[in-house]
Amino acid sequence: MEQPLLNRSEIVVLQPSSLKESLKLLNENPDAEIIANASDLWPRIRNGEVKPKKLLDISGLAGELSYVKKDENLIKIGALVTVSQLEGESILKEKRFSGFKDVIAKFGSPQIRNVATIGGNVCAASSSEDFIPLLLAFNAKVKLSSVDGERYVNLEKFIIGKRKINRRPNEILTEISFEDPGEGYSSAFEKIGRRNTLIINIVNMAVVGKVKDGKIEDVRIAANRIKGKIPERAKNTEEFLKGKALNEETIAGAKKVLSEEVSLTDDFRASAEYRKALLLAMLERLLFKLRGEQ
Amino acid sequence: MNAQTAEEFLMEIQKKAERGELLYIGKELRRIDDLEKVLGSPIYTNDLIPRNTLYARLVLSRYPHAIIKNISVSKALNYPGVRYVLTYKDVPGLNESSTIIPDRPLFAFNKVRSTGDIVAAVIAEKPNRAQEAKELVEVEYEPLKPVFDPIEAMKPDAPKIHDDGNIVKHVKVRKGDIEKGFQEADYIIENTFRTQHQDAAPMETETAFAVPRGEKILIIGSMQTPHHVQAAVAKVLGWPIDRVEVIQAVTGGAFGPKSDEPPYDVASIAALGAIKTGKPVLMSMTREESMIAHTKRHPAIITHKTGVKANGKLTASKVQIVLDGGAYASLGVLVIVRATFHANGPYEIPNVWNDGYKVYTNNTYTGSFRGFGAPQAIFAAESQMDEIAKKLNMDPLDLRLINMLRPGSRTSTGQLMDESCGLPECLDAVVKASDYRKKKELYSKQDGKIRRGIGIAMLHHGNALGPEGNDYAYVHLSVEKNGKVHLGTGLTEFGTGAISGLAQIAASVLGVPIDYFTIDRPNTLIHHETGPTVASRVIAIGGNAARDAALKLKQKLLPVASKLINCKVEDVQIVDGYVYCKGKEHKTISWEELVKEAYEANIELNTLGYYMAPSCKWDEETGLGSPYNQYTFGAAIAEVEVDTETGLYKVLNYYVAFDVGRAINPKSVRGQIYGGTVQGLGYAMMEELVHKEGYVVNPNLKDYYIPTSLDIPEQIQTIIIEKQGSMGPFGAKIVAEPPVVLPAPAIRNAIMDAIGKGINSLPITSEKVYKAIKS
Repeated sequence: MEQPLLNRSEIVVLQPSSLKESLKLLNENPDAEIIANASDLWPRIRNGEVKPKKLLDISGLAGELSYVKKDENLIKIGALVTVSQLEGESILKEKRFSGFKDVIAKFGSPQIRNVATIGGNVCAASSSEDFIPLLLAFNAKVKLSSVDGERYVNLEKFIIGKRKINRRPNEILTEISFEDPGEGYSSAFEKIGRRNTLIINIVNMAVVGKVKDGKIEDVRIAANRIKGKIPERAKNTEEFLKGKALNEETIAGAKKVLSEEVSLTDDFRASAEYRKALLLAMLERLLFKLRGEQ
Repeated sequence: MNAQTAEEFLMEIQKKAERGELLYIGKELRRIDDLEKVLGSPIYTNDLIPRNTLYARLVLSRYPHAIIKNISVSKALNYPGVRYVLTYKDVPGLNESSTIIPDRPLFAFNKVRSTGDIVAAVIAEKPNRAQEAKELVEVEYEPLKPVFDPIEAMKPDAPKIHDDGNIVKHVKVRKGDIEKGFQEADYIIENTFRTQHQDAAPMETETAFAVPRGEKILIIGSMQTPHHVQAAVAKVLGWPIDRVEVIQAVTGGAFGPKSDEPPYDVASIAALGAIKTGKPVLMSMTREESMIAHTKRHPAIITHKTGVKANGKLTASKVQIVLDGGAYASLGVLVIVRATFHANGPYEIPNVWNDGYKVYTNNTYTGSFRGFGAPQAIFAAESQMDEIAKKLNMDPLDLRLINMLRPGSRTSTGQLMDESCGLPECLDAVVKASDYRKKKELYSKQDGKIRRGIGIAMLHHGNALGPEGNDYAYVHLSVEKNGKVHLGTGLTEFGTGAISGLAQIAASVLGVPIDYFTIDRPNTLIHHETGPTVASRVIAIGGNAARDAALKLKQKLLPVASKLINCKVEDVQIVDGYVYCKGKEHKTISWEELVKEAYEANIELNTLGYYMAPSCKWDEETGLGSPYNQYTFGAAIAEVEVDTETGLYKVLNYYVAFDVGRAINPKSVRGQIYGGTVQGLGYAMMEELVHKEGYVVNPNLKDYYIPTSLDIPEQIQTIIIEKQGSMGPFGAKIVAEPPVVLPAPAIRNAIMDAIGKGINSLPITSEKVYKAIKS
């Protein structure tokens, strides 16, 4: 067999077994890369994109940080919940959380779903991370823990650029939370790529909202790309839709607003023009899904 | 000796085969090597590597076209763990790694012609050390003006990639009077079609492991053709070939590139590294190295000009094929021959004028890949048929029925089709299976966002090498004292199951079950040079050699049996491992007893079977003649559903029929049809190794898309037609390659049926469908 790509002699791997110990170690080693199961970092090491000298392996904290619970009106998801675990969570099986089911259905392969964590997905902070738009549409916050205490940051403010997050060197993302929007809400997510699975999206989009008696009472829309290279909310489109009847005319109007709101770019996967066309088609489909149509 | 002559045996066996009486022919037997593969046993080259092995990594060119001013390896040599850095200076023999035209150095020395050119190889104690030290090999380049578009490269003032012009090979077909043909036509239809770089992406990349053994070197590796690798390494080392021993390891997929030049590279580099360091060296390409430095399917630009009468009869077909050969000739000089001979599709056309060019560019090089020029040629030809049908306002099926090859027709090269032309049966089978007429009618009345369509594609495929070389094979059989039979050959197994098929043929002739057989690992020291394992030719050519070896063995055994059971030689029967006299079925002895008796009688149970196909005759200038001994035929129908708002589409059903002459093992035949279909779906729908200014943009399986199980249609219905050919054993024709050809044109034509517009370039992405709808 070929030898591993990393030599143990060249890399320090810190393996704490509790959050408290992790925070202490990280405080002492602020240059360490944090990994859970390294499904994002490993290919980047392999491709020579990064060459970390120190790793803080927090997979040993799974007992502490692998929960999904409802606390008061908050849905709280521990950072180390894997995609496979999320799939089995009963809370998320409610109709208003069906966007989670949509993300999971097209998330990587079974092997990746078994190790990829939701915290890692958010911290990877790129337009190919499918949970980010959904969590943005749920108005999620992240909890950052350090020896200095805890602070909460809106996800929107947490992701500041491609692979750039608003995390201090001694902080670990420990939890993602959002308010349960309550009965009457629903959510949906769609992803389009060049094949049906194991694919980096061309575009994706998530919608959370409430449609009552044919009227859009509330709606939040996020996509992997709106203006920049990171997932964002489409706030102009949201504003346009709020309070309007959900019908063909409204959707035509919303498409117009969205097409003015987005600014997309070409790459080898798809052109900007086509990306826009897909976003507009998705908007229509996802809005109708809010009303309970396929 | 009053034993039957070989000819009499052959006739008897042929008759039995025709009556369907042969023991194992046409039976769905298990493959001999299935269990270890299913269990994931450690069988591949990388599983065999001992601890003291050194690892090699490639330094590839930084520029698509440049002069090399200087190479300095000293910094890399000083890097921890690095044991040697190989460059052209270390080649003791010929610095050459070429199949047909000696245009490709193993290590670039005066200039680089593509970003896939190998400049150096770092040999280190650990792969990561080699990987890191690569960056320290200093190469000084002086960039030259590159050319990436093959049409541009054909112009006289284009940058020269080699000393001569950029057209490596020009193939012609000239039949009838092309101008007269166009004059007779009521319509003339012209179109241009484009195809892309496809990567074979075998699960195992190019890999070779070399062990120094004093005066000799042992190479174990992943390849299709060990004897060619042996000759290539010997040439690089400057050694006589008998000092180089090559063993083909279990090979994790090949698809053509492993019959071309990449296995020469890895074997030569591992061998040189092993000789320089005195240690075993593993040269196993990373996926990135493989996708940049190995051969891919040629992109093609194909123009069709077709003359047709109002009644649908084709009068003239003029085709120009330009293949982007990349920087080197490779086996591509033969790919263009097959592409040009099949360029007009499986139709009878009185006047034909084809020009095929393989052209050098500064893209990475292209070469052998399943289908060997046919996927490009048939995509264009079959797309053109639907464009013609549209012009005539005719059902594409009817246009095909009017013009297709049938017994008595002549191909574009003037070859007469005999009774073994099963194309009409193939077409009829898929038309019926898919309920084509009804669906065509139904889909013509659709409205709404979601539209369905149905499309046809057909092919003929010249069997085995034909114009590509001498078509011969050796198969060796030996029987051990315990009755076990060894089958040895230089032909190789790399996933097709064909070598099991050889055993199946030999078992049928001998009359012993296939469980008695073991297949020896191909080894250049033991097995005869037997030509390449390419062109789907193992069963059609090697099968005849297996039959020959088994016949010779049986001729030795029958007189022994005759004495042993007191029976006339012609009445001796060997069935399922039991030996008896005709009419006295109740009194049998076992195969083992017979073998034991033969050993005691001092009869050597060791035979070498040989077969050489009849030579093919055609004219170099006009292409006219019979370039192939027999043809495989096929037809497919695809049904698609298109979302006209986004261009997203899926293939709902795929019906495919192949005339394989005689299915030696129908399960294996269907396996090849399924596998080829899925690889063809990838080619049709998503696969594209993107080159930008000579650099590969997506050399990894994250960004190079091959179909997953969720991308293939729910139904792939396979139909086997058997119109026995004149060459293969028991009438067998080849099957491994043609299935990859049909999905692209069938899907393209189905999408055209759904949206009314044809997409003339591959892959057919949803974006192209979207843009076609909006245009």
